[in-house]
Amino acid sequence: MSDDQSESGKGQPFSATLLLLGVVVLGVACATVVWNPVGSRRTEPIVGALPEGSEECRVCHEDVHGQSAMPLYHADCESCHGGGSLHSESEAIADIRHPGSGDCLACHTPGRDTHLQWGLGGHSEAGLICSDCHDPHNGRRLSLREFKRSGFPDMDAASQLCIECHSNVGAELRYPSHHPVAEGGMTCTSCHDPHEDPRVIAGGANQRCSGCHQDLMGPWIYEHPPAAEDCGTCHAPHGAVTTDLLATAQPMLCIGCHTVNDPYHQSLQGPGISGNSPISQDFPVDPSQRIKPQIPGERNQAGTFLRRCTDCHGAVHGSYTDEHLRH
Amino acid sequence: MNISGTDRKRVYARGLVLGLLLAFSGLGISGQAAGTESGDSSGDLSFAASGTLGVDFYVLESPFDNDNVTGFFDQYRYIRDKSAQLPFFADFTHLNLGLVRPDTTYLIRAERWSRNAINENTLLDIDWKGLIFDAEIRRYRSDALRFFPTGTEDDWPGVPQGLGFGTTYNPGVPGLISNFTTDVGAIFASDYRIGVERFGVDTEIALRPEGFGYDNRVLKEARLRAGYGSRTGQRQDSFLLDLSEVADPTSRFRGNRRAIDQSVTNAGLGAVFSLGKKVSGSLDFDVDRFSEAAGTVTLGDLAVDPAGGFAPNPAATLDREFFFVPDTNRYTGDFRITRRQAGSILNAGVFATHLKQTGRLSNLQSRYNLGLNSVTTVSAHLDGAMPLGSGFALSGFVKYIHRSNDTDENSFLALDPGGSQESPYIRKRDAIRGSLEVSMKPVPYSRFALGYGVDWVERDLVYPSGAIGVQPDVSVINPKSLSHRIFLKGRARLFRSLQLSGELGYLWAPDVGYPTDLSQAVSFRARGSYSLGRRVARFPLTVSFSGRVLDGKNDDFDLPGPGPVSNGARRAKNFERTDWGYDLTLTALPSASVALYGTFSQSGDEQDSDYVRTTLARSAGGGNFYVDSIPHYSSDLKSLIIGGTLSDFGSVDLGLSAAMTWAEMMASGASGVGSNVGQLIDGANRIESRFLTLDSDFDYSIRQGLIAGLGYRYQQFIDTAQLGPLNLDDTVHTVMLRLKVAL
Repeated sequence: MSDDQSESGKGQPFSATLLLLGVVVLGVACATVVWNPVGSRRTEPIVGALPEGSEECRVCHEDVHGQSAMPLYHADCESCHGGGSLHSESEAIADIRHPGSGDCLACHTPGRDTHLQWGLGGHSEAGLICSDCHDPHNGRRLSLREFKRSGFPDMDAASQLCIECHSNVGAELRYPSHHPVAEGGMTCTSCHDPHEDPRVIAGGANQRCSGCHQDLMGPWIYEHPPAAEDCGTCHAPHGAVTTDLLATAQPMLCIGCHTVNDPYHQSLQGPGISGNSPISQDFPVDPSQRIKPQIPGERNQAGTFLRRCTDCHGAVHGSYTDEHLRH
Repeated sequence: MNISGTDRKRVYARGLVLGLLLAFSGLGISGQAAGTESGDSSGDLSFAASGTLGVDFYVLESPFDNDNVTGFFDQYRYIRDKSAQLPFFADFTHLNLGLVRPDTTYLIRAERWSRNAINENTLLDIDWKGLIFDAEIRRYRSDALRFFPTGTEDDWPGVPQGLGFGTTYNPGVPGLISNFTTDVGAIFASDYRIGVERFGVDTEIALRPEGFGYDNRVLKEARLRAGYGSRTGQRQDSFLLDLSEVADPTSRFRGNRRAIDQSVTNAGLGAVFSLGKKVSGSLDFDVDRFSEAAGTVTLGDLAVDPAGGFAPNPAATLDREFFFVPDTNRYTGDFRITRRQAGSILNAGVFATHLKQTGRLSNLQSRYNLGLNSVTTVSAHLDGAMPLGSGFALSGFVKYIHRSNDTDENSFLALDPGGSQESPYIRKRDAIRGSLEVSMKPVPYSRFALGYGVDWVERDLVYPSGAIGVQPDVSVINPKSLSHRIFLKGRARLFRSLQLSGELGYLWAPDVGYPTDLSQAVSFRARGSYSLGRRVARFPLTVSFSGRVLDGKNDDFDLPGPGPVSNGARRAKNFERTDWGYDLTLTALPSASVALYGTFSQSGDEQDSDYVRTTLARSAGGGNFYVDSIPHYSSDLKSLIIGGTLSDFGSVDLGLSAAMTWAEMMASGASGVGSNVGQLIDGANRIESRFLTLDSDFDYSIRQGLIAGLGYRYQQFIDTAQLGPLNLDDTVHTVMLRLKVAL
């Protein structure tokens, strides 16, 4: 990026297009919603519906979602669905009430089953209700819905459910470096609580990482500031193209902030480029294409750039013995 | 090396013992519990058991059919006994035992599953009246790929291979590394696979007075928890020795296989309470103790192992450790309170954690009588939403975080007469983050909001006191960050089958903390799904998509200072970034027993940095500070998953899925600008790889409660960049046999 490019703002046209696209999409959504919205999940009470008793429901709904018996506390259909008199006559879905999250919270009094923050945060804001993930009719652990069409046969049931909507995360879990969710080594809920507002995680995002990675948390004498502030500065926790879950491959990740073209790094001894000689990208598979040996007295950066920065600065999170975070 | 045989026996023994224990404990409790609950509304208990015994046979294609080398897939699916003619794994892939009430709920339940070698999970639950007991046992091993390092040459005249800077340092597996003949067994103790095995047990007992007939107005639940975890194995370290530490410059670049033997013990207690009908909250305290029992490697150790090629300078401090990990105690308190009333919700919380070094000291700390280090973090938040009437609502949050680094600053003097570390460190950090948004619901199942967010950080940076080291003028951290963001977002559910949501945001930052922070950015993300019913399509068909774009730049990170600046002008360390991704999923249900699905996903990242050069002294060696050339970085990742299931088709269940992932990353730099850095970046650590996975499962129901299964998995990893000397291509075939029994 030269000065001219910088001043002209290479990214500006794209940003403007993006802005326009966003306005159009949101505008269309706003406009269409006014046409004739018909919700599939009526959570408000059905006017005029009277209790019929669960036995009446069983006449047609011999089993619900393949489950003939269900937990006792969920066995009274109308305690959640409201009176079924209108529905039993018309059999119309519009005449029966779909329980909302408020119905669940009415019985799930404060305790471990109740998630105090539910109602705030992305999931509730997106319009999800408890029954989007939990099926109170089934007897599975946590009454989780079952979803097996993710292409991850070893993944746990809860994570498969997450992948149903967060398919982009599913793709990231297949990247060259990833947390072992796809392999069943951990679950999405090892790090995420789907009921809480992620914006107000106690202590910050690093606290979550510290639950498993205590050995990287110090306290250090020599601390890498970005590591102290936010692990996400360098790491992409779901999956990344490069090793160690680095969001950007080395050396670009490091030279985004740091410089290496200084006398110290230039003077590192090792094979490299002499002067401005071109290099081959195919070394060293073909011996004939190897980098030229260093000419004594000439500086080069090959020793730095053609390796990972962490090959020398191995203690990149923090150190007790080295101010350059090498060990 | 054959650690596998021993491990396997141990695993089998553990599995067998655990299974028997669970079975007997289940049966033992059965009578007692049945008696206890007999006559309750829950009725009599019944014993339920199901288990799936699985055997996997692996066929590994060369070169990773060797116990000494970690293949790509071994990172995540540890395969033991790889050098055997037909490596195999046998275990209960799933086991479920329990006492079940007539309403399908469990009084006691034990569930265990193990999908591959050294990857097992066990859950034990007891749910009796107001007593709830949970226990979780986990074991997992992950191996590390042996890039060590990504060298530029595999030999160097005059220096033994693996010991000199610039030489490759990989396991001595004939054929894998060209011209590699030196035995590095002395370094790796003849164990070339590096991995970490994690083991953890977490338990919690919760008591609810209500369950025992005591309706306490305030205390709703009391809980007690304890846990233990361990991480054992080895890590691979690499580092560069200082010139003052090593006599032979060519021996400065070093690597070690570091043993780790870490444990974490934790205990905690908490309570859930109510204050009236509208307010509820929780209070928790936890103590964690982390310790590392493995010894550290010192400079003196290196002089002995490996032999040859290394001699420390006579003046060097031989007891200086490498990668010292402090033992710590962590004390954490968490208080949260929630108030719900008439559609509004208010959540507040306070959190504090104190991480303090304890136990052993580093040699440096002992020698100079330095104090113990600690870090304290405190956060408080307020998060809420309330209706404003007429379909409008107000929501927002504010969060404050304080972090204090209480390092003994005399430690800096111990290493550097300059009196500080060479780079600044953050002694204190205060941050406030918040947002406020007004939303409206023009019609049910929709929401549109306009909001504003702010992110403010103030850092107390401590710079070296001497003339050397990074000074504020050339620091790549600013003491302040301030960014504002406005956003418009919405969601709508239309015509029952169409859902749309999106968010458009604009960020501007008057103060940026780091060069790669963005001072201006536009972001957009959207998600949607559309289901075509039978009236439109022949069978139910759902299309869903999501996408995101972040496009921004940072032209506000100046490199000011009194020194001369090249090109005759003061420069900003410009940075631009475009990060994007999208995915598209298609799901079809041609019949009640058949499901077909496919997902395509692509993401990319483009980064550009400017050409900046100043001549301010920065390090002990003095000299220039510049990003020379114009580096550019791009990554492109694509993933395609297609699959289908055939369920309950007579006695047959069939699952088939295939996944293909392409990963590509390239860093490049312009030539002809400044020095040759641009050319050197070209292709450095370039990544071009493909993954192909094919999974198939065939289950046949022999009779009620007895299912036989057969599966085949094909995995292939292709590294087309081949930058390193190690050929990483890897292919694994797995044949899986399953027998599922349910009582």
